[in-house]
Amino acid sequence: MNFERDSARAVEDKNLQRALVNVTDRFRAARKRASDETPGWDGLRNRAREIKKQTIAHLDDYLLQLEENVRKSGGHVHWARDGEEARNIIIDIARRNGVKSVVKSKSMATEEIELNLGLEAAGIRAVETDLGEYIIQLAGEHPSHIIAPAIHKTRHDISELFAEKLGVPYLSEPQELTKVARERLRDEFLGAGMGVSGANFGVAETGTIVIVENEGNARLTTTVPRIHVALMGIEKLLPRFGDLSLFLPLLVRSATGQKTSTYISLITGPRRGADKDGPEEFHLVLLDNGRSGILANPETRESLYCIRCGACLNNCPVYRKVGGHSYGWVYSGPIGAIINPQLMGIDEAPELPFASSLCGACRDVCPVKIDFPKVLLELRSEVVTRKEKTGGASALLESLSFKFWRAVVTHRKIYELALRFSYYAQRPWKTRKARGGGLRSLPYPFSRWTDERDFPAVSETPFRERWKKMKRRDGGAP
Amino acid sequence: MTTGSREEILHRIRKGLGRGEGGGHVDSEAPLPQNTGPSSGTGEKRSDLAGVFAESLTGVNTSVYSASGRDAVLEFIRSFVREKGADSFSIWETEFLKSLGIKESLEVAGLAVKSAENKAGMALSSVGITEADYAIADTGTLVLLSGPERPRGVSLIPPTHLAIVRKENILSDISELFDKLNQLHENQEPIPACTTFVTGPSRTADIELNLTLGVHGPKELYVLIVF
Ligand code: SF4
Repeated sequence: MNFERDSARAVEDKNLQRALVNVTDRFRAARKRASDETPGWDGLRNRAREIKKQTIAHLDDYLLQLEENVRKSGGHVHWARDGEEARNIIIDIARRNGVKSVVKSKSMATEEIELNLGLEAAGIRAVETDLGEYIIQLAGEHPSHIIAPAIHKTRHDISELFAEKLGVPYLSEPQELTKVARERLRDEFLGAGMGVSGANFGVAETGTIVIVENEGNARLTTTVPRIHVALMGIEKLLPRFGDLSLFLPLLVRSATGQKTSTYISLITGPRRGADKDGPEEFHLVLLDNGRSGILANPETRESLYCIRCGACLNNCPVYRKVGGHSYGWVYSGPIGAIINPQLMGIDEAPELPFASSLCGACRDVCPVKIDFPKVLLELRSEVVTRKEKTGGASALLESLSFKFWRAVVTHRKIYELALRFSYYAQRPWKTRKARGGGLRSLPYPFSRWTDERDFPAVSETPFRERWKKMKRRDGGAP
Repeated sequence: MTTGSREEILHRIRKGLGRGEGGGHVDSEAPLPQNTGPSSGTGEKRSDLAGVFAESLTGVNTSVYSASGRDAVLEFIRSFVREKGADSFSIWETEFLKSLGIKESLEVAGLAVKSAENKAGMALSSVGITEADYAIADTGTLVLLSGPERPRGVSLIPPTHLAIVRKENILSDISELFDKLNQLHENQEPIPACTTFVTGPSRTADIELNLTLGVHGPKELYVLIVF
């Protein structure tokens, strides 16, 4: 991944910038209204956090309970250590049943394991059925937002895409485009041998998996084909059925600001004996893929409490500027910044813990109150410790400069001298003035700073002296 | 091999949590906190749940009607399908709907009934008629439990969904609903294969955040409250 390059590209993309502002503003305002209107919102978040904390602290027991109850209701349970194993399990189920085409509802976990690529390599067609995902799949791209995967595309882009890929005339109205997708996808649902979904929650007590949506494509995916396979990260557990009365409103209100979503499906096993519809087979695939490794560090363990509402993205000043594609993997925004390095291995995404201003806006909106600044700092320190261990010129330079900095700021006389010196030393660069009188560009190594932002110029009269003057003028403390 | 993977994942989890093999005991630790969700049931609101429910429905693009007594219900449904220009329908066969005789009445009126076993056929039917087991006033939500006489496709595949709700089944909020559902489990009734919450017609905002109805599920949702 390359956060620096991809985010710079995103900032230049005018359509993306407009879309990002639109979607994040809309979701932020809606979330704010919904949470303000919910009595005792903060207390609900505290309870949810505590429940997640205890669930994760007993993850093994709850997983076993879930497994037992899914089996009791007639379903099958599979355990996948990593993405490849999960892919193979799903491909295997398809092959055993002679499945040629699969319909999918929106699931970050299937993105994570690149299921579509795997299915296609095995000669099985996979069709995304969420409208946004369908658009993205036709375009051969990746989702840019957890909740609104295709926000970076304008209606014009989509019209051209449909005309090219589906052979329909150029349609400019979202209503018309949606109708085309509905018709195409209805045929896909009827023809598919298997439906693959994610899961927003899995309930240990009853063996129920829960899917939250607005379109109805997840309902079709889990109702029409003969086989339903659900892929669920092992952290998505809730202990009790009744926990849903707390977590469902928290999830939906944090995500879109709706009071509740259009559809919520609570699925417990395959169809029962005399049922006239619903899948004949139900499979639950439990995905580890790095999650159990996150447990080992108590400082970052809470990353697993996440219920994937997307609120932290919408409220993050960095995400709002750089968008989802800059984070290099399926998860983006603050949650991506903490979870991608932990799931992929910190060496794969060392830039991400730094892609934050530590303002804490994410923590303030997170329905399970993940303490982002704390987790980010912990991950940063891990990155730096590793860099120091592996050595390298820049690590050495960084640690030397901090030693130098400490020497300067802890000795008053040296500090004053250094300021004086800096004031004169900066002069050659002061001609290229930036907004607010900062320095726009400096030579290496300071260019590492000024490539990305302005550096505040050193003032001629230090604050210390201005302060003295002010005190003299006002005759005492101001 | 899945068995090996299962053991390995459990082992990793236990190692990460710093516990020995065999797991801990969930109930030996601090008890889980209370899990009631947001409540909206002030005393005043509780006295008129049907009113609150109707108001919530209007907020989610759903038209709501009410009728009292068998004749009034049948009269409403016949004029409803006439207005919709419906020529076929699919329907849940709950005790209550059977006692009203809706199916027979619509067949007499010349509409063809489509069975849920034939998905392609049901896609052609004009109206799906269900009876919501419960409704949540606070959010305008219908709760549909699946079963042999209650196929899931009826509220999903036809372009129009008409749900009938008995007034006494309207609950105040989601916590009250989960209390009810938990009671069902305690009475040893097996939990249905699928419990569906429906709030408004199918919708998407995936194209430039434009609200569009009927993307996959029904484009229109109607609710008839029976007193
Ligand atoms: S970290 Fe919190 S705010 Fe972000 S997606 Fe997860 S639950 Fe939502």
